[in-house]
Amino acid sequence: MNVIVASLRELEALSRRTGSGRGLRVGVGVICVAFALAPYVLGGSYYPDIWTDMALWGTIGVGLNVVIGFAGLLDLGYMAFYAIGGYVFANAALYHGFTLWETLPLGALLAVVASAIIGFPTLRVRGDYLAIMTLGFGGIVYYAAQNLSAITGGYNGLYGWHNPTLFGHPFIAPIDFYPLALALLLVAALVTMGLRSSRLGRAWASIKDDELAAASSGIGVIRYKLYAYMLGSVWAGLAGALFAAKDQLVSPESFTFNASFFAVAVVVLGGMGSIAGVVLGGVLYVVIAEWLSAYTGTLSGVIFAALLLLVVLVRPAGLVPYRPKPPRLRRPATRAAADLETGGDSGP
Amino acid sequence: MAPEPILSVREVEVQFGGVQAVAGCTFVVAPGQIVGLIGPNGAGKTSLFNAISGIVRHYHGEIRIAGRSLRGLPAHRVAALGLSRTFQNIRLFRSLSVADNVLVGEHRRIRENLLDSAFHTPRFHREEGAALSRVENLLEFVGLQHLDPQALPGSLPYGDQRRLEIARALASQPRLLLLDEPAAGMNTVESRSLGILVRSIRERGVTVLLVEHDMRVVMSVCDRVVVLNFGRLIAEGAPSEIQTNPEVIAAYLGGPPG
Ligand SMILES: Nc1ncnc2c1ncn2[C@@H]1O[C@H](COP(=O)(O)OP(=O)(O)OP(=O)(O)O)[C@@H](O)[C@H]1O
Ligand SMILES: [Mg+2]
Repeated sequence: MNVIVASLRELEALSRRTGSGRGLRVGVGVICVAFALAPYVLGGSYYPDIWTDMALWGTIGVGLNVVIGFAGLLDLGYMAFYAIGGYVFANAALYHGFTLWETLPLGALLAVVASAIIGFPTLRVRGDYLAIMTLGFGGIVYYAAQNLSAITGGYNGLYGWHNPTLFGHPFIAPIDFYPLALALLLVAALVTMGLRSSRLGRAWASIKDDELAAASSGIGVIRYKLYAYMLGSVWAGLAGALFAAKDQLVSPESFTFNASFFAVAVVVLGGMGSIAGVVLGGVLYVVIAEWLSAYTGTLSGVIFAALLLLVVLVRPAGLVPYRPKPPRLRRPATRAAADLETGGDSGP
Repeated sequence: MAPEPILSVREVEVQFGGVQAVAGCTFVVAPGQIVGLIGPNGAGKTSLFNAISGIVRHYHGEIRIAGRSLRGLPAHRVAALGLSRTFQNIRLFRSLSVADNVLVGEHRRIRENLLDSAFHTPRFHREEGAALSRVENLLEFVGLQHLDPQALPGSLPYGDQRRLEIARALASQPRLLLLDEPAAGMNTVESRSLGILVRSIRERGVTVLLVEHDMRVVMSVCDRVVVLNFGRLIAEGAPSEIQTNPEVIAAYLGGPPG
């Protein structure tokens, strides 16, 4: 597992040095706008869920990207935080009469708290062990959802709360939640993009490259891994709450290991570290898992996995490889020139 | 009375399984000095560096920086006390640009909270701008002004990578800098200019502990030299004394300890 992740990173770094990005970026922007308008232009009645799900899975990709893409931590239980968001919302709405607006921050908060509690002991272990421990955590949450009937409704899940309204406008059909999900995706994308090019993002990248050198540069490695885990989980908590509100149901089947696996696949497929990439990954996943499966049935899972393998083989840095934005130095950047290789002027 | 040593190493022992890498070393480094730490291959120089910098945390004895014991402190806490280091087998961040590598060294100096980082507030731009201009100055200081700050370190010539690692180490404004074979793989011209750089680092008020096999560099820049052999300190003194010390000569010719 470690070897796979390491070689993926290697190739990601390689692809960053080659290839051009501007045309691609414009293309991505156009596609984003098209997606924002698509359900209204095409009419949302055909596959009413699919648009909202794309935005939610885009958000999942963006959140998990903080953990995998930025900090280089393999998390195989990410959807546990999505489940926490969903169940927190369902409980608050069903038993305490909270609205979605009040519950969203609560779901986010509890996802972050849970990630801190889980992350604190697990992030001390390395590589493969972290993957196994997060896998275990995802499993625990799944079985808890099935068995803690008092708060999860057991196998049947929870449902039957009042739909939220905003300025008297009710949210009932899945498409009603589309603007919300899209707004969440946008905020997640912008915030994580900001984090990536900050002191925090650099600390994560340094840990991903070389923990020893990062620690020797004054970075508390475990603490920053925990930050990545927490700042990644918060988006799953929010998306999970929205997902439950949209489906008007939360049940364990949404939070199986498969879901966590597909979340990782979304990040790897799209391009670790790349925001546009992981959003594209999430959209592709929903298109294949929901739209295509109407024609192919369970074969769609195989198709998605095959696509993942193909991309890892021929385009290992993902569909949209991450390329860092250059820092703005005042001095115009000049390429290293052979005639400057004197090396003698090292004084101040 | 002598000034309080910036670094004091007392009876330090480092073991790896059955291997005694450092076998009871005692010496001090006074502030403002350039001290050479030399010895044949496998003498325990890097192991001692690892113990001092908090990478190896299981050692016997006592290590202090400016009087503060380092026992139990992890590497990033040791760094916070004003220690910086480079690595024998260059450890740059390979997927970060030249500028970002040095910016990681600036980590503790940049004041950004979570909101600044997420939303790129005016303070974010102030802090990053100030850090970037410090990075520029540092790159110039170590003689890398010709580099494209966006280049990836893997594409740089060997000597430039060593200098970049020094720039990263200086970015945290250390009081004490440990250099592990900075001239390794350099030609005569390059290592001479590296010696000049080490001196100018000291002129900035940074104390330097230098592990180096290139004796021309050691003899020309060090105020004092400490010699290890088989994990033990076998000699200590001015470069000229060390050069003529029979025990040191024997150690380098492969003789048995003592
Ligand atoms: N992580 C480790 N595990 C096991 N043994 C180690 C480890 N690090 C160093 N050693 C052993 O400790 C001894 C001292 O090694 P060290 O690297 O400290 O020497 P050195 O003086 O830096 O040598 P060189 O000049 O070759 O760099 C050697 O015998 C080495 O094999
Ligand atoms: Mg060594």
